[in-house]
Amino acid sequence: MRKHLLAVGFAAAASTSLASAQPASPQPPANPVISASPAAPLIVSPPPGPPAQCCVLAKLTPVFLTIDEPVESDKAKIGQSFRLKLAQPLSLAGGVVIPAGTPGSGEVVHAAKSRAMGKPGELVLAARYLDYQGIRIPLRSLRYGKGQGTDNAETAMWVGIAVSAFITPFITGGEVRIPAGADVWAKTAADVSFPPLAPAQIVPAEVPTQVPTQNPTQGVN
Amino acid sequence: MRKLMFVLAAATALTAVPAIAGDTAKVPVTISAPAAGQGQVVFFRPGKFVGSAIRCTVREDGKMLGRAGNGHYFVVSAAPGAHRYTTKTEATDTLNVEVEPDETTYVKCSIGMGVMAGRPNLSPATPEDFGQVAHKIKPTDMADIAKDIAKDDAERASKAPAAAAASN
Repeated sequence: MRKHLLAVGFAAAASTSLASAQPASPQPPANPVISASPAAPLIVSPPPGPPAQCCVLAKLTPVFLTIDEPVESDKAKIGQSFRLKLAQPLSLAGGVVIPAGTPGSGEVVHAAKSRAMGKPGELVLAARYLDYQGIRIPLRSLRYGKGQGTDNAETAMWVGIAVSAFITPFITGGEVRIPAGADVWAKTAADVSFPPLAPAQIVPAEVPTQVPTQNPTQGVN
Repeated sequence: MRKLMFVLAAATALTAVPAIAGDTAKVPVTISAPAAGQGQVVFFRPGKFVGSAIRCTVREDGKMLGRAGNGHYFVVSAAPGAHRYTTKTEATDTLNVEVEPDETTYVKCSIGMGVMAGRPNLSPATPEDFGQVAHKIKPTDMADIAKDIAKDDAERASKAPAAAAASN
């Protein structure tokens, strides 16, 4: 009986220690979740700290952008600029609205086309600025998805082993192709001040037009 | 005796199930934030059969930054701005990245086929790419990296006068 108790005790201790060594459940990704409908202007909430001044676009504000021309790893050159534009308007205090379609520019930081033996194409892009009425809004932290094409290096190796090593130089990796109109996002790199609008320039938010309602007391002629 | 055997079998079963679950469960790997105003780059190498014997040595301007074996990663602090990282065996591969302040940049190192030896390849990666393999890879021992860097620096220093003499 003592042996039985010992065995049961051992089993309990072993299972408890292993259970405590189990990893915690994975945490949700730390990426910011930004949800906004495409048509609605992006309301910029001021960062924590002192109250925001009028017409300042705060540093690190997320901006939704559209890449305006195709950028491909086999055609792009390092240092080449590409066009982008603001995809969603930015509404600031003081009535300033930076409209969707505001043009900007990005730069190809790295580009390499796919190679033999399954090596994939590579593309690293950076957002540089938006240009709103001559005021440059510096950008950083461009996010656009994968910077690497399909990696076929393992496929090339297995084909080389199974079929012939002479085939592997003809197996290339995939290219990175970012089409025109691709949605991306970035952040503003610095605080940018805009001159406050004159009262006459401030367009009030659209108020639904008053539809004359029929007076129920009036008869229909 | 039969009861004891049963208890032992149950104990084995109890211990085996969490062990199997532990292999498949994804352990979140936390990369600490870079120092204020600085950026950092995570170089990671997913565990692969191809080139598993070759280590991925990453350099910038010739100086060794670190070395990742199969299924390992290491983190390098970097000043914000443009950086050009290289890795080499029989061929050299280069990757230009832009390090952002207070952010982490991810770079994947993979080993492709070569004629005499595997060819390392540095490619841009996303936090999601790293997250997909993070539970399968381990951090490289920083003491080993420091030793490798010290050895490499000494080798480069000894070669430098010879190279200068050859160029003259």
